[in-house]
Amino acid sequence: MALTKSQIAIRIAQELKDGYYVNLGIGIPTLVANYVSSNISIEFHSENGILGVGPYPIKGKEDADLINAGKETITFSKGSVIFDSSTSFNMIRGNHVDLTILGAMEVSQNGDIANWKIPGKMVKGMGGAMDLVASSKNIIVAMMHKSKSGKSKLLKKCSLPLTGVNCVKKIVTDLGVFNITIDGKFKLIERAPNVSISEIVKFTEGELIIDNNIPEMDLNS
Amino acid sequence: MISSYVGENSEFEKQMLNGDLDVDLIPQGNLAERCRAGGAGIPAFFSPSGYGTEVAKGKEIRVFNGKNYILETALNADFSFVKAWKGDESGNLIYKHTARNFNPMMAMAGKITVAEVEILLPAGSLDPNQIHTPGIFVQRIFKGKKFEKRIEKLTFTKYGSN
Repeated sequence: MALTKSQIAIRIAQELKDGYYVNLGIGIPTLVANYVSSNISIEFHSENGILGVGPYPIKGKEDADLINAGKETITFSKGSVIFDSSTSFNMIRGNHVDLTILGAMEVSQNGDIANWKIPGKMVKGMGGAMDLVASSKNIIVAMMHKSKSGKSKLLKKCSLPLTGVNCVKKIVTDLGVFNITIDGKFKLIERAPNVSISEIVKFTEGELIIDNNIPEMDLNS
Repeated sequence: MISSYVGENSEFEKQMLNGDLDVDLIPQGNLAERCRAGGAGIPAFFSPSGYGTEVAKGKEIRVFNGKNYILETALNADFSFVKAWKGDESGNLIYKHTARNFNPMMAMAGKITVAEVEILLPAGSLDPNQIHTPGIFVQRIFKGKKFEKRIEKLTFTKYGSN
């Protein structure tokens, strides 16, 4: 069975380590915050200028002046701090954020990512995505393996305008977990429960490395 | 129009796709730093953001410590409009929560910066330790009449309390 979006987030949450500063993009990445192990302490950074993003507010406690980069109402977590946009991007560019998790429309086997523009159709702007992918120590992409029309989003080469080059380290899709190798290929690390290798091969356009015995993801740990 | 993210503004998107509006979309960190540089008297700087993308087209690329950087130039403006929470008669400003974001850089980058505040106080009323934008960056200040704060994505928690 292919994973749901929440299950993709559960698998990515397993990558978080105690003390990490983490930036979450819009979409599936935002869900990761719901599945952080209670044994570790994570500080979420949102590029509009807050470190220590807390949960959504309870009804009636929302504040129009307290939002995340996705423009959702949020709360402060313990020890939160507010800063301006310049300081916020100093944290990103200066390599102080440990992990960036973001969505994508396409990823290529050498780690290029496209997620900001569909020429002639969707032009909302790149926001902070280009800064995040150009400077983050570690970038994990959370996305569905196929587009709505059924095409592979793991490609030899991206067809859409790029957000960044050679930057993605790991991809978690509804079908599997993939690392980008140094020589520019998708290496299958884990597969979704009951998803066959042949199904993953069928829906991956880019070059795949598949060793023997690819384990199934453990979504309960 | 120089912007980073125009988001869910469908009228803006339509005018841009029709070609009615000339829009330069740039990475958010570059926008922040270009305004900061403009206010700080730094004409240009090298940034890694946008390398290898259409944003880098026609710009000088330099390699520092094995990494590629793009030459980005400072941004200045004849007028800057900022919105703060509290201000005093000296032009000192304090912003509320995440409404700070671009305001401090925009205030620095403008020749004439106009600040609208929710609360306007006599000089000396604000704690000097807590001021975000020093009044030297602010040329005009006024208390707004009405503040309608719209929330684009109202999100609530399902459980617990905070």
